[in-house]
Parts: sequence; C-alpha cells; structure tokens
Amino acid sequence: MPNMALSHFEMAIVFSLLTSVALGITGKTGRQEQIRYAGYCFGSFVLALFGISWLMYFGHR
Amino acid sequence: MLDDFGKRLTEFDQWIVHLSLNWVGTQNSKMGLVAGGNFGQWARRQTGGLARVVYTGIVTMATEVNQQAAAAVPTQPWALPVLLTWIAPGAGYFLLKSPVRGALMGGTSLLMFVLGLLMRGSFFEAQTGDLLTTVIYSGGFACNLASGSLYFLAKAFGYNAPDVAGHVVDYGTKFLVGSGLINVLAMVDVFEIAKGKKG
Repeated sequence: MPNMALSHFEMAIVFSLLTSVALGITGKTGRQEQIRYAGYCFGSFVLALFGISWLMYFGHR
Repeated sequence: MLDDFGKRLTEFDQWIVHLSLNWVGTQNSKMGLVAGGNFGQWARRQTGGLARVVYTGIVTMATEVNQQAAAAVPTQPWALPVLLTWIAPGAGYFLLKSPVRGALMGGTSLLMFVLGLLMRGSFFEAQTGDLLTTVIYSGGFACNLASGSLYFLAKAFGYNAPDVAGHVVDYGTKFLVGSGLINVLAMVDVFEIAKGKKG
C-alpha cells in the first residue's frame, strides 16, 4: 500500500473540504443552499485554521 | 380556526379605530378645531389601513404555514435505510431515491477513510480507565465502528497500523474517525428524510 505524506496545511485543507461537503449536504435542503452552506463551512474552517495557527505561533514565541 | 381568528381581528380592528377616533375627537375639541372633520377622516383611514395591513400579513403567514404542512413528505420506514447507510456509507439514500446525495455522502466518507488508511492512521481499541481515556478510546472505537463495512473490511484484510508518533499518522487516525462521524451524519440525515422531516 502506498504511503501518503502531506504537509499539515494540505491535510487540514483536505479534511476541511470533505467535512464541508458532508455538512453542506446534511445541513441544508435545496442545491443552491447546500452549495452556499458548504462554502460557508469551508471558509470558516480555513479562517479558523489560519487564526489558530497564528495564535499558536505567537503563543510559542 | 382562521375564520374565528379573522373575526376576532376584525373586532380588534374596529376597537382600534373607535379608540383612535375618540382620541382625535377629543384633541379636536380641545384645540377648538370645529372644522377638524377632515383630520378625523384622515385619521380613520390611516388607523384602519394599518390594522388591515397587519391583518393581511398575519393571514398570509398562516396560509403559507398551512401550505408547507400540506406539502410535507410522507413518512417511510426508516430502519432499513439507516442500517444500509451504516453498512455501506450512502446506500440508504439510494433506497430513499436521493442518488446524488447518496453518492456524495458515500464518496466523501469513503475518500476520507481511504486517505486515513494511506496515511497509516490507527484504529482505536475500546479501553476503560480514567474518564479521559474512556472517552477518547471508547469514543474513537465507536466512531471507527460507525464506518461500517469499511472498518470491518480493513480489519478483515489485516490492516493494523501501529499508533506511532508523527503528524501524518496522527492526521490519518483523525481521518478514520472523521469518516465514521460523516457516516453518523448520513445516518441521521437518512432518518430525517425517511420520517418526512426533511425533503
């Protein structure tokens, strides 16, 4: 079995993307609403990713 | 019920107009405006119009609620679709005639599981001890089990990656747990669709 080695950032983005798709499908009804909600979740994930990363960076200095 | 509500609202409407006109009349008398009949008529129109707008709004809202209730999807048996979704992620949606939703949910869960395996993530074993150990290990085990056949197939084919230190393996373990959690979301969604709570 091949071994997969991605960076922290890449793995977090893949995780956010897949989770956002699932949340979009289950969270809303109607195609447009689902797409909008999935986009909102993904944006929130990425924003939290950057925010918490900077927080940890300054916390460790 | 709506007719009764309408009658009551009409009485309320008349009451508001009556009170308003009394007040306008009093003001007219106080100010000595004998020719204030025009103002009184204007006030009657304004007050009556406001009440009509409120009444029309409430009746429209009540009609929309009734229409939504009438358009609700009828209840279907939920046990089989939920069980199917647990065994094969996304399969229950196909039974409920939602193939696109099923393909996306099944695909998402499967992709996350495969990525977890490729990162050499480890499965949790149920353990008891202090509260934190019990919650993490037993919860993780339950999430792994929620992946259904994916978990059992991986175990049957002898997948048993050790829990070693490293961010890739750690992410892999989280991906495997995440796959199970997505399947739990799918099972709840299938249940709601079958019960007619969701379209």
